[in-house]
Amino acid sequence: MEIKILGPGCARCKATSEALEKVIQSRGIQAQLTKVEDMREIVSYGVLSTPGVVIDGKVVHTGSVPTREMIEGWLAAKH
Amino acid sequence: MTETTKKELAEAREVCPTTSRGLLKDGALLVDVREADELARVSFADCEVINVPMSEFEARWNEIPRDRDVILACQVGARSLKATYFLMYQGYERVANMKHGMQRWIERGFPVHGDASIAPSGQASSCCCGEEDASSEASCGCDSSSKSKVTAGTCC
Repeated sequence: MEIKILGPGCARCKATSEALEKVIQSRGIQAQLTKVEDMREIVSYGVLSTPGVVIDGKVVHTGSVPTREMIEGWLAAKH
Repeated sequence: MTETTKKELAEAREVCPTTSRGLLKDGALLVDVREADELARVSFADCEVINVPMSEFEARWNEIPRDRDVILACQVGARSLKATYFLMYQGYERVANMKHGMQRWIERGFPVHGDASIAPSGQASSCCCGEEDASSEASCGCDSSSKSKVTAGTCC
């Protein structure tokens, strides 16, 4: 699974990254987590409001730090 | 999951305020993406301008016409560059970003409504919505490679 976190590196983006890492580790999920901080590349996903989360090429979330429940839901849908 | 596809975006066209003035005189539309409080301080004058603030841009971008030249501007040109790329993502072809934005527009002595002496760098309404860093825009990149129909005689 390939997960991308879209955001310029602000506190909310870091919190999103940490939240994802926490769930991935606790569930033992094999996933590659990448941060995308380049503005042009972020917008190339059609995203203006960050942080955004992209899982296997699909934007699943934008504009806020996702909750643990949200993250678990996305990851469960992929397994 | 949202079915949003990734699109390769070409480098955005950027024009300096001097070239922007020429384009605006020739019928381009200026889209000011600054927030209401910024507009209340100072706003672009002597051109056709609409305001679509960054905080509402995702909901209102389709108010911007596709069939004419559009120049996007903000305080120093960072938020409007993001908005320019967003319109390109949405398929707009006649869009350009005004480099250095209102700050350089005022420095050039171009017309404004409000107090031109009060032109602080724009602050984003949220940490991620429209971050701007004037220091990253210190160099003046004239748009000599611009596809603009108007060639700037005295650029930047």
